Amino acid sequence: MKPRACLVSIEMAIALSSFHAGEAISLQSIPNLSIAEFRTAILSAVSSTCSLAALFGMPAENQNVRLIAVLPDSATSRLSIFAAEVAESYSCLTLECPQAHWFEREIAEQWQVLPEGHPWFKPIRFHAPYRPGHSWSLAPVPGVTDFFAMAGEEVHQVAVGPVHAGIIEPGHFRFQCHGEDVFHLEISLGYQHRGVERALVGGPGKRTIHLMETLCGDTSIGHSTAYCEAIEALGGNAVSARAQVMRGIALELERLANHTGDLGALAGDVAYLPTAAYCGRIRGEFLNMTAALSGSRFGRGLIRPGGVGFDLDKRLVTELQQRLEAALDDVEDAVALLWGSSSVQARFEHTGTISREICDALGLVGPVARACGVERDIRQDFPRGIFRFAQIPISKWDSGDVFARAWVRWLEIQRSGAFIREQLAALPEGPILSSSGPLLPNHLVVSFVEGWRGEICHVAITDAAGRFAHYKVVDPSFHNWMGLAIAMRGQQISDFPLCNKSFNLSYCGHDL
Amino acid sequence: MPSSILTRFRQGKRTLPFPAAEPVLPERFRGLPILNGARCPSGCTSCADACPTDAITRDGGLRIDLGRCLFCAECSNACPEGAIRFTPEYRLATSNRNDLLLTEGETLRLAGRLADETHRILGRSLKLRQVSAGGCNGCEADVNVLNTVVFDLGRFGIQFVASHAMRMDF
Repeated sequence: MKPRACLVSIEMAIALSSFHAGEAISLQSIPNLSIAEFRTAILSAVSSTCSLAALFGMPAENQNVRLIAVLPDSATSRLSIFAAEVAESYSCLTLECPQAHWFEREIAEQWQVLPEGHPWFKPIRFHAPYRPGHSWSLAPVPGVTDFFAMAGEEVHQVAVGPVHAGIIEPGHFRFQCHGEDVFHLEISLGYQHRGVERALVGGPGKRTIHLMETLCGDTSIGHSTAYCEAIEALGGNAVSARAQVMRGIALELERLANHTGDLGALAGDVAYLPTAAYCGRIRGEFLNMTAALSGSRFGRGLIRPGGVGFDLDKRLVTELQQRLEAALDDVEDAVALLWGSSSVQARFEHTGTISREICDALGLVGPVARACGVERDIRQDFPRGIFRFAQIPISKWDSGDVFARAWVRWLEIQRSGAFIREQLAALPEGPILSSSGPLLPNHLVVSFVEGWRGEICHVAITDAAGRFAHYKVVDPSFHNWMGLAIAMRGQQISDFPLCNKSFNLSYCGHDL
Repeated sequence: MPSSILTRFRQGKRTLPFPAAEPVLPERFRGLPILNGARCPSGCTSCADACPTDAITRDGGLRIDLGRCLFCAECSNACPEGAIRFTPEYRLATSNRNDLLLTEGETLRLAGRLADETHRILGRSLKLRQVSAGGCNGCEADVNVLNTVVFDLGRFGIQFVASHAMRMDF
């Protein structure tokens, strides 16, 4: 990426940097700004209708670090991309743009670039730095760090994890409490860090698709779709209508399974066992439909560059239609109990409330944001594949509490069910897989997928040989963990499991 | 309350009849592979080359390490001769790591019943502890499924338990 001839103004830079998601962009066409211009461009974009989907570093010449920001504008369905080079430090964005908080900590940890003035400067994954010759390590031992602390005689801390009581992933939670009341929760992650992004550099290779399918095991379809759309943009291959429909069906089955499981888990956390038991079973019905398609309950092997790995025949379509109707009837029946039970509603309502202002400031995504009244959904705002033709209405509610997060999931279950029903009835004929050409060298592509947790963003950047010079993954959990921490403020500590389930964030998707 | 009773009837009994009846698996399910090295053309390494986790070796006979295998079937898709074929056999548990090395012509050494003394001590009360570190949460998701009404692992006297005093169920 060479610096562009001098830009007349930031406005011009913004105007020049308007791209589409899923479009291969020559690295030369990305505005390379000074760090001051870069900051101004980001702050100006987020003050209008843009959000910060990704902000990351990658190696540049002379041991410098190139920062890249991806800012989708849901109002125009376009995105701005800016780059700037930094050496050792820059003036942090977080104070003016809290959405940058986690990203700036990640950049500092990976590339040892200091965001000066960052209000809570700590590692997020606790690993050794990536930039050669730079060793001011933040803290390489997971969890060994200072935690935000309150002082006072009657104040106490509660430390939970990293190893939890259930069959779940590790993460550390530090509560600042006064009696039962939580004043603050700090979440310390990184225990599931595998170094996936680093392993992708130099690819794609024979492992790449499998790494994508296991970035976050419960979102195999979401992440592998984002990856394949990036590869297809860079390789210039067309995906058949049939394959696009099958990808859409798989993505919505993934949403159905997880949302159903979440509603069951929420019921379990308020000790309403009927719905917990039924939904635990019905979740499996949706997973088994994915297994009927691909042999794997998580859909591994299904999404492949150029299309899908398995086809559907008439008999399987009929079988899926029957199973879908049965499962949708069962989930409606099971979930209706929640809304009709005053004891459940009393626990869901006004618990873990997030205001619209906080939601916007933190840049929360997915059902969590839509439960705060945000009308944003990648399937509507940046549609790819079948979602360009078959639109799923956005489901939202505006109370921002556990109830809203549960209700939005229920609305989405109904709409995903209707979508699959419609698509199975009108499956286009055609091939399912096309072959992929070599990737364009020195290009960048951003792909967005509305996974069941929210916005999945992948940024693939190729080198002169058409291999990955860098591959950035932003799981929706990366945006939303801070939301969970804020939702706990002013709550009883005993409400934590309920609040946590209402977010149901990924540890591995965050830790990568 | 009446609606919850009606729902209870409608949802029915859903626990699988296993082990009295075999589970019904999807046709595309990929279980235990069968190896037939006699079909391998000399010098062919297509399967090993295709394997994303280097689970397959060809020297000294066709061998697959099920401890590394993803069951992705890249190998059987790459093989022109059908020397590797995935079957619907779902019994894959072994008692030690080396038993996961499957060589052509051998049958998988499945985990056997407990030694009499261990069985006498534990009886039908097996408590397991699962700790995850550096995975994708796929195993956790499917282990949790074992506690749903469908599988109801507890009826076999097997339970997953917490290791320490913190019982807040996250």
